[in-house]
Amino acid sequence: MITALIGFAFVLGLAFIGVPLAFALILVGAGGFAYLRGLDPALSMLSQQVVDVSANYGLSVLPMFILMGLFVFRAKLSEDLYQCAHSWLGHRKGGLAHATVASCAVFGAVSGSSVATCATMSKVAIPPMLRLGYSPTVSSGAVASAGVLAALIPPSVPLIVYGLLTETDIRKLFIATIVPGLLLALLFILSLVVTVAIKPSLGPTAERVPVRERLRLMNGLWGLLVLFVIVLGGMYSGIFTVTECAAIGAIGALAIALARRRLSLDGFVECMVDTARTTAMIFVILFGALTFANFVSLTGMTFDLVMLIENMNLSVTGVLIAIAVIYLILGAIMESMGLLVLTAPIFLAVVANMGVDPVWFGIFVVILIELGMLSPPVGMNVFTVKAVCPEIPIRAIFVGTIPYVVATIVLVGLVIAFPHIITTPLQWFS
Amino acid sequence: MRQSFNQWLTRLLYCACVLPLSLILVLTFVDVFMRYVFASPVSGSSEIIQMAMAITIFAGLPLITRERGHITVSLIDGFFGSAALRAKQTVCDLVSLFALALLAWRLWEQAGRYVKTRTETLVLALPMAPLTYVMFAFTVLTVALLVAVTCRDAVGRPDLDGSVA
Repeated sequence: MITALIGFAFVLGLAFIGVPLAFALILVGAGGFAYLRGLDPALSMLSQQVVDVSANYGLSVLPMFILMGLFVFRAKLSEDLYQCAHSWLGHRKGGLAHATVASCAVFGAVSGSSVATCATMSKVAIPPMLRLGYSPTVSSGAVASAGVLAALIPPSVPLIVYGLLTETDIRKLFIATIVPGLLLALLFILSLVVTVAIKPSLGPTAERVPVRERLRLMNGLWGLLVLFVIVLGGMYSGIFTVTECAAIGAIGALAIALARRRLSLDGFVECMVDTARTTAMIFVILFGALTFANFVSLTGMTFDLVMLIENMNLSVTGVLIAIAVIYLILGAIMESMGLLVLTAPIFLAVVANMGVDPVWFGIFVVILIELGMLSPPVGMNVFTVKAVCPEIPIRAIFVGTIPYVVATIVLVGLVIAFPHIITTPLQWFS
Repeated sequence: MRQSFNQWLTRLLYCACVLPLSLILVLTFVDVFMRYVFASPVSGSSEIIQMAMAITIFAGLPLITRERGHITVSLIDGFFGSAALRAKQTVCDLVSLFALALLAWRLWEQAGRYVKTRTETLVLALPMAPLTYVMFAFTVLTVALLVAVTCRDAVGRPDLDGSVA
């Protein structure tokens, strides 16, 4: 265990001075492996690992879902989506904030990244809210927080990475996450209702839009609906594999962008190159994480941790709460993807020993990681909103996320208390 | 001259990203279509996709590295002056270079092993060695670009050439 901890200390040391996490993981992982098993086995392990992970059919799911999100973004559907949500919900108290949550949830069904969703929705949702008299705190907080829904409503990049890293079925993860994702959207709405009830001035109302106009606005969104039904329907029913769904989704999104005349050849190339960039970034991290995990499993750390927990007589719930607290602390100071790859395999090995379902644990970890996206000082979602709307002070955005952070913590409590929220849907689509 | 070389390189890398990704996109789609409509899936499509995946990843590597786009978790930047920051950046770059060089060397060795063992994919009998040499080549290119970026930032000249960064 001491060896593994020294390894962690090295990785964190290198990472905190600014070495890219992927390279820190590769070097410490291979170095540690060489220390325990000799240089030659370590070097062979590294090269085999890299080739096996890169040349892999199943992993094409990641770039395809990223591509789908980028094409949808190019199609500028987000504006239509927000206007539509606005027309249906805007006349209620705090209605525009509700509309923001709703459109982030729908956008999350085609995008797998909370940062991308924040960046997209900040542009379309914050200006109308500010115009209508919403405070910068309320409007920016709503976008930063509701972006989290994208990572919980399938497709989800962090869930794909978790699946690749721990060899958990990605389809199952996508099925299991749907109820917690929708539940979180409801909890967000609820926290808004409570906030506005306490202080009505926070939630101005817009004018009521006639139903005919609302239906007209929905007209522009049928493409999105079809895409949604084909991708998620095809995956849940088992007609398509997850990889196929991802490619079909990307083709569908491309068709929508073309049909709306929003995609030039340059735009197409940009989407592709951005996808390759993100894919490379995530895969280098995966090389590192897997190399490092090989080293950690050699040290026997997992076994030591399990023994330690047994000696402390902790219940499963106790361990899960401890893990949640660790994520809350680390999530505040670490980048989310790094935190995920560094910790999830180790924690999973420990809790799987105690009978925790890997699919359940994946959802649990991703909720906690996403909570880190909202926590000061380095919450990425908050910084993304700040980058799009530089005139809003960072403090105001963090304050704005508080009701949603509370809602997310409630969700964490709910999934620990009622694990069936996550596991029951798995039986519907077995 | 330098400008045009950079443009040429960027274009090459863009092609190396767009082509394999488009191939994955089209091939997966056609495969599903053929399977459901004509009950005859494209044989070996998964092997072509698997090769295209590897090329996409390694074509993206030089792009992301020269933009310093890798995920970092540094929190201590705020405590440094500009000179110290520059020194720190150089140290980080050297560590990254070491990791990338290690990776390149290992890929070279792995490719050599594939040549010797004549490793091929199962269905289409595609040799693994050329693919691994391509991965190696992109990694070497990444090392070269990172050396250029490191030198540029270490001597601290203002950004003379926007297309490198």
